[in-house]
Amino acid sequence: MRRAGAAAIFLLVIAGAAILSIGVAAQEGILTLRVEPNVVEVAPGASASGRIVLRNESLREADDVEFAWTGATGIALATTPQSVSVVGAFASSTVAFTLVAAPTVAIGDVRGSLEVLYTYCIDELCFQIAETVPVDVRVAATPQTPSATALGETDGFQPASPDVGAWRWWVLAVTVLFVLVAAALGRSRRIRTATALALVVAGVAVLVLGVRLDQHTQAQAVGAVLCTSCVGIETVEVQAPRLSTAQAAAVDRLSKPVELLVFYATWCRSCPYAEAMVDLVATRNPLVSYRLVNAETERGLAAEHGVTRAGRTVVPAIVRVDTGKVLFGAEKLGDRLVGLIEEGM
Amino acid sequence: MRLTKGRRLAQGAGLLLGLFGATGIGMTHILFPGLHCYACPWAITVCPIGLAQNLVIFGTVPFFWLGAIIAYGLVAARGFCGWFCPFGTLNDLLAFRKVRIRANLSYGKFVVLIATLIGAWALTDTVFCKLCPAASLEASLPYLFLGVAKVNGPFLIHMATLGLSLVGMVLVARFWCRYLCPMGAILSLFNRVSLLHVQWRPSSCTGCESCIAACPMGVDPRSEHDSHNCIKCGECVSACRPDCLALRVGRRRSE
Repeated sequence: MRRAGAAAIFLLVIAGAAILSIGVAAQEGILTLRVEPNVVEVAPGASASGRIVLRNESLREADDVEFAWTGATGIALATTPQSVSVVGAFASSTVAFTLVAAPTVAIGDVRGSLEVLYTYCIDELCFQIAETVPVDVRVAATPQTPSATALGETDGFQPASPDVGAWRWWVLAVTVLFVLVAAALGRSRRIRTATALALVVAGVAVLVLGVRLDQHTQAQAVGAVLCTSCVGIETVEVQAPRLSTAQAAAVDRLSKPVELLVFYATWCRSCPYAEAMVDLVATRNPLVSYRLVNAETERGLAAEHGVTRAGRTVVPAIVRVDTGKVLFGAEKLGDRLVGLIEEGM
Repeated sequence: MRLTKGRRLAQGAGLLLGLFGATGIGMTHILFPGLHCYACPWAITVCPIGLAQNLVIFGTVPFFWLGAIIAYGLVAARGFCGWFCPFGTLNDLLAFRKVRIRANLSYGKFVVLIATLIGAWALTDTVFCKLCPAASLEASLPYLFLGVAKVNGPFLIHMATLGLSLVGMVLVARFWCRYLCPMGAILSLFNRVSLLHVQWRPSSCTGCESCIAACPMGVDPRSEHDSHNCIKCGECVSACRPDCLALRVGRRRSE
């Protein structure tokens, strides 16, 4: 009985650790941050420029990125860097900043830091992330001002923040460990009941927590929208969209306005390509206008425009409003999109 | 015989739940206790393997997923493979050759599970879904007829995995369930603690081994009814003349 109790407590502790680690890990950032140049050189009483590169390697977009300076006495930001409203999925953004050294600051190396504050959301669940990037400053009498070219170099990318993907291993490891321990303890008939009871408690706890965090809605959203590349209906288009000469000429020939709706899901990997292709066409010929529609939140609109097939909303989908014709997916989109918009011209 | 009829009814219910979207009901919050593609046009439930990959990609904490899996595990564990899973039912329908299981290869399903999760993390993509034979059958083919899918590279890959799986199923009963199913791997972790279980009474066993011949998973039900390969289908129970095997629900008694 004592062994059974100990086993149950062990399982509960592991469940607790799993929940805790998962909860903490969920609030890890999605941006990789890097400061250029590696060392900002500045003379006492003068100013020097640098920039921070924000790289988003997740499927989520980072919103409302703001910056603040801390540390390094005698060094300050000339002005607060302009905030970035959105860093899209798999996108990068660069923000310039200017540091000012007080006339009395001592010659030598100091380290300050830029605090980067932003939010990202997983469906209804949003996280506010605060990350700190160290900025090395060399106060020198005759600093070597970095050239614009040097600032623009992107080779030798060294992330300044810890690997944001590492926590996922923890989530997987702790979760799997918990169930494996339970499975192993189930071998012994004497503690099988205790193991089952501990699993009941752990299962109910995580299920309730999941529902409270609205994860059941997230599960439903994933199931309700079919991303054509996600289940292997087509390949993911990752290159920047381009129009061939013939396609560009066809777009130029348009004589009437065309209104398009582009249905997407935040987690759909082919959608950015479809969005970019439509934007390319709309930029080339202003007669083409479009609106992005989140298929997850506007299912009624999706159903109304035939983007739903047998109850499943399919993304990416491009709808021509006046004819009601729909294009699904991103494969060979250039030809299909041109065909869609030049019909009836 | 009653057990077999009951199982067919339960498998029918699994198929009904899997295709209930044909009634017009949309996607629900329910995780399917088996391998059933949520991209299927008529699915109203979420595939746990597909969702798990998405959660890994999103970096979402798997509380809801884990809670549902534990619940299914505690109720029947791999009993869902034997009694409910539509892809398991397909395996069942093609179970002509009930050969003995190759124990070493049966760990392949855990390799598939781990590779699925690592693949999703490393490639930020639902790699397994693109190979899954259940998705081939339940999504690729229907969407081809619905005008969404085309005969392209990914479609042909799906058809190849489906074809190979079908050949495997014909040559070896429950081939997919034995060696490759990641959902079976997850549920098997709960096989020893689930409410649904097979019980063996050695005192009345005559050693006729008719249970071994009847087992679609190719295990020895007398010694392996709690192993990760037992799907609690009850075929051994029906085949056992001395009634020393029983399928029970509830607390396990000492054997």
